[in-house]
Amino acid sequence: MFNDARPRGPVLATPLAPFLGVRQPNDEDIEPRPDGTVQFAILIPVYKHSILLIEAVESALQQVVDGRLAVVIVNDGCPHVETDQLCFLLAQAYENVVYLNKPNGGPSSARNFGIDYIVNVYPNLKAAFFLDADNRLSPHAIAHGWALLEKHPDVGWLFPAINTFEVEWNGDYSIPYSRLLHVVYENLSDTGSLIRAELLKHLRFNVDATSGFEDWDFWLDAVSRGYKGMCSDLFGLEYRNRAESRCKEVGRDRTSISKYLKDRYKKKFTPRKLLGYEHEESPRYCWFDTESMAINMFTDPAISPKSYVLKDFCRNFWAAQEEPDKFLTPDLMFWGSSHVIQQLLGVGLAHTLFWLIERQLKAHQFVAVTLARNTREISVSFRAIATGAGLSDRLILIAGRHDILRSCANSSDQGWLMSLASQEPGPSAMEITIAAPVDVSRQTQLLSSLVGAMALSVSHIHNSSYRTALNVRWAWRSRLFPAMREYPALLERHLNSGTLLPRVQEPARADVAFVVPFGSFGGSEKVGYACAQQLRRAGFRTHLFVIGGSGFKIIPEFNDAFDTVNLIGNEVPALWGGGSSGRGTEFGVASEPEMRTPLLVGLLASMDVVVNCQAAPLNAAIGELRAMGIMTISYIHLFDRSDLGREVGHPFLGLLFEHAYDLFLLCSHNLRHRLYALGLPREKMMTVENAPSFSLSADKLKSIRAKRKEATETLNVLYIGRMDTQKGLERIIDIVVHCNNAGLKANFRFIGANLVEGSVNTATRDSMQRANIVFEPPVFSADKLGNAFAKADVMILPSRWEGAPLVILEAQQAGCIPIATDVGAVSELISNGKNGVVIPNSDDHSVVLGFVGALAMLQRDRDERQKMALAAMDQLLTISWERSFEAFTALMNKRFPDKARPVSN
Amino acid sequence: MNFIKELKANARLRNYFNNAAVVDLGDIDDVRGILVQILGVVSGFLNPLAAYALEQAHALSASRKDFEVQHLKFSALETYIQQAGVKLVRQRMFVAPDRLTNGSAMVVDVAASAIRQLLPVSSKGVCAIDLLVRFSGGETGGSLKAALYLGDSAEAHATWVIPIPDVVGQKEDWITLSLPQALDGMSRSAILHLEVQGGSSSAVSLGASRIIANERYCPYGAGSGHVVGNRPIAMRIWQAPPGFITPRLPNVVLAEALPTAVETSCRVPPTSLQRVEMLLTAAELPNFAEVVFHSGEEQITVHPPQKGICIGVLKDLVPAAAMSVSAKGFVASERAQPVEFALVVAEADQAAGVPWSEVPQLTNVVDWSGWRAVAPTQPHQLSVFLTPEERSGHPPRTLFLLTRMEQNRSNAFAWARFYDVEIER
Repeated sequence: MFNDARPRGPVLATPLAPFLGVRQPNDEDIEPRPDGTVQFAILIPVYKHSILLIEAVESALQQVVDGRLAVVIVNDGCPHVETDQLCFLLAQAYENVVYLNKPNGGPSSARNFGIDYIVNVYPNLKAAFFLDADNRLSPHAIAHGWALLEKHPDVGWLFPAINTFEVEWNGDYSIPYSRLLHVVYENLSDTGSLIRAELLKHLRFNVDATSGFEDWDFWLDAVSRGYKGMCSDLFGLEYRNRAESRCKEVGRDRTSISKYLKDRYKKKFTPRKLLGYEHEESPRYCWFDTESMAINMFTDPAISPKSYVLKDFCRNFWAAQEEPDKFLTPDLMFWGSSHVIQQLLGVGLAHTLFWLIERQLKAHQFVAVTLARNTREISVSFRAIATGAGLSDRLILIAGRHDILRSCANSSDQGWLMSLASQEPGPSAMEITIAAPVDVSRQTQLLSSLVGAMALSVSHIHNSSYRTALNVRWAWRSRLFPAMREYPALLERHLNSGTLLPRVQEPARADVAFVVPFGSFGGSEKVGYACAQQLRRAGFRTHLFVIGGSGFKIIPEFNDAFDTVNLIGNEVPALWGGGSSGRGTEFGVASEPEMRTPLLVGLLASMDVVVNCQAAPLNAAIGELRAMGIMTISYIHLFDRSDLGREVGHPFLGLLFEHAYDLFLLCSHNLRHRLYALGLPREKMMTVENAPSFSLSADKLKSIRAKRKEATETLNVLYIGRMDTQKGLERIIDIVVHCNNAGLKANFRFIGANLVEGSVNTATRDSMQRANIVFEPPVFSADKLGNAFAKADVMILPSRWEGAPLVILEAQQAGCIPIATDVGAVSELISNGKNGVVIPNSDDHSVVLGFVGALAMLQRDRDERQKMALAAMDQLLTISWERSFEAFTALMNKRFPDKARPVSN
Repeated sequence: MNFIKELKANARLRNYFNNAAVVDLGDIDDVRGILVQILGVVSGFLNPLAAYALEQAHALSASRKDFEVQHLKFSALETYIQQAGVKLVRQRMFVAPDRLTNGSAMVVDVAASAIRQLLPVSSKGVCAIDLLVRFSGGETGGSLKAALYLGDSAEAHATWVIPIPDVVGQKEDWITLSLPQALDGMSRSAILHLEVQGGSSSAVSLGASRIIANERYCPYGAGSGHVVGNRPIAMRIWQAPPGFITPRLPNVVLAEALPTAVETSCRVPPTSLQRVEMLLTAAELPNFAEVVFHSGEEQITVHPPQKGICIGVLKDLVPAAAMSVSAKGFVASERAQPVEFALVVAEADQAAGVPWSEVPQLTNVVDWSGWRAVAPTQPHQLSVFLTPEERSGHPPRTLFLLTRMEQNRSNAFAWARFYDVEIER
């Protein structure tokens, strides 16, 4: 390359004499004295860039900035002696150059070493810049950067667009800074950034991150503490790019590094936190308010949205076509009155509705929603429109996708859109009907006016002068980042979930989800509702998730149990069974599509606690939820039986998925002992004794008590419950027949229904008919239930298997003596001979005889009857849900202290 | 060891003693022994530093030699390119002005305070920026100051000052902000700063393009940062190889409707050249018949007479907006005497009153190249440069190709030819 004209004489000795080697700290070192004159610092860690370092230092020394600047070089134990030589000479020659020397520890430790120095020695430091030893700065970089930081006090650090030399490349980082994107997608900031001194008091590089991306780790730490960055594409960082470098080296290990960072920050960047970033930076919903004509963008409908006027929205819309990485038009667009949102929030249905609409828009071009008033049930139904079966006349909202509406906006004719209002609609659409206890009269609009409003706004977008705007790509650097409207999808991919339920608001304590397979009147559901009610009263936010069936039957006693009700719609997972089997029970795993694990994860990811109230498919998703930092609880009630009488069911599922649960709530000590014996650790279980699902007023109790003291000759016998094998329907029939044959003076009353249509076979139905057994329809209200028990002297429950039946407690509460088979936790609820009768469970004939004998005894011995009735009532005075859940509530209070009133140490 | 610590604590001296350490001299019997020991230690200390310094000096020398070689190569390349007349300047981006139906351009006012505009290209290679400027009549004086800022620099890389002309009504034209050499170094964002100094700020407006949705690309107040309107400034940006000296004149007015081809000039096609005629009207002109178009070679022979001038005429060839006309003159036979060549751009197709020998005094002549003597077989470039006053608002002009024998020498074998006729706009 050049003519080597060096003299051929003896060459001076190298390497250096031991005296001037790489200097180690020693006892003669002193603590550096604080220098209050320095306002800016450039920190240059160096390791093996012995020659290029001079360019970095020169560029640092050439800074033109108002304020004193120090250049701090940190030699990270470089084995090249000339590194030490050069640093030494620079420190000697320039007053504002400081040379620090340390044993090798990696770039993180070198930067931390430098940060410790500048934070301690420069008390008036305003900002610092991390300059790699092979990069350079333009002379006005620090001045320019600081001017921007002064102008934007909410920004913690300024980072450049990347312009490289040697291998030339220019990347456009000047998108609006997004914390969401920074966490879930890519590191937006190079280490070469200007950072406020305030951040450096709290932040350090992770010295364990030796595999690279320590800068991404650093910025995530900054974001988790509430700071944010900003890009300046004018900032003059000159980045040396070579074909092979440490950056290229770590790029090969990207997947494991991303996973490492995700695990490291999962407690700080919870799904709800990330959704909060999405709400602020790239909301997924765009709502055209047909009353105020404002356009609101939000993720969580409960939080104040960003509002736009139509003119600005149109500009944004077309700007987003040209620069989707810099401008946002959300993917999902809605038309309706904003009062609708408020009303739906009031009944706790807003979030689930937006979630359902988002799901349906994946398969349909439009979704329309109608509202129907129903005071007894909250439900959702779906109807795909077709020719001759168009949308309903009155709707509360219409929603569409951005891609469909964009293509409409490119056309001057909106006839295709307008056909939605006709009976021959062009687009594909799904109509969702929400039934709920809401006043619908004022919230619905005519279909034609709503569709007209939609078409009008699309016309406005079409007619905007920005549609024919200058079609020139003004930004000359390479585009790097995805469209802003894709950020929600990136978040879901990061969380490995389906559509996220859009909850963002931080609760005072925690958001607790109760997941039930059906929203009906079953005992396990009622217990779940009772638990939710107690937690809600303790300041938690509670949410019901019904993942099967079409809705939630409203139980007035639990009106205050939930803040929101969430329905899964028409994408119901397989509620039982699965491709695997364990301990004789079938179950599904996450990889099976029928389990719909991503769907469930998306639905529940924004919760702090998930309580599985015997919803089997949730087990497949529970591990994923727990990995997000969510507390997981399984609430188990009973062992089911197979057709051959083998125990199966939720307790075994709990055992099989035990590792993914933090706690098991059990309704009886019997169940607890059984599970302990099967291998569930004691400290993972908590027994919560059941209580009646409704309470009777003091006057009512007084009246019943008075009545019980006057026992009648004829025994009033009540059965209330389902008509199925579990409940021993065949035994009930035989009991009635035997009693009739024996001439027992007893009136029988039957209240209930079968859970599954057609589950009672013909022979049984014939037997019922012959025995004159007629079931009254089920009753659900507390009044009617209370009356039914008050009128009856005895309640029979000849079940083949049970948990801790609420019906026993409800009967006892009203002085109705329960006679029940000794299954499950029955013997924990009934003290035999004192407040009820327990019949040993064996073959049907023995059980029937036992029941008949007990009925005869109670019919005959009125004193005994009276004594048992009153004893039962007295017993129930000491039982309540509040008392039962006291320990659990205390545990939850301790785990989730009240953020509004933090407890001081 | 306390004195070492004191030295390090001293603000003025600590840099010198930051890496100080104590050296044990061992047992010393006399004063001379101390001196020897100290000199030995110091030389041991200085030795490696000397080696380091020598290494640096050799490296610097090698770097300097390398630079010299590269610099010479670069200079030679640049000279070759300039002499060969290769057109290096190309249009990089054209942001066309938006026009009303009556043809007038949409404008952005350069108001009382300065405005800035982000350029849509990186800085590397930029050698000129054309702006469409409208000057409005009224108060005279003042100037339009333009400056180019690169990246985060607080100082302008280049500045231009365009005097505001005294116009009646409005005058709209393209102006060129030309750099002496194409920008090199790192690719950076570039910002154009424009302000009116002196005079009336309402006297100057800049052509604006169609509206753009991203307001970051629109002009903004240099002081306030507030966006001015929703249209970027119309501009044409020229590029050349980074670092090359670019042969463009500053503040040259360009016509707007340039062909989409990247070349700045237009070589007159053969179909136009073949229309050449001989001028026979002047009484002084000898009736010499040799003006011929050679179709195969795309050259025009204008054979000079023994005495007088021979004139070839290309009617209406030169458009009104042409900046320059050039052609090469060549004497095809080596046996010929030197021939003088000239190019004349004139209004009418005949000059009246004054003989053609007195070209500058001809009333209808716009401009001419002057007589240039061309030796046989040695081509020579002739050019006519037209001033802005000469260009605007005129119908197309005629190009005259003149030849005569130098000092009335023999015209035997004087095969004088014109070729590579080019018009630059």
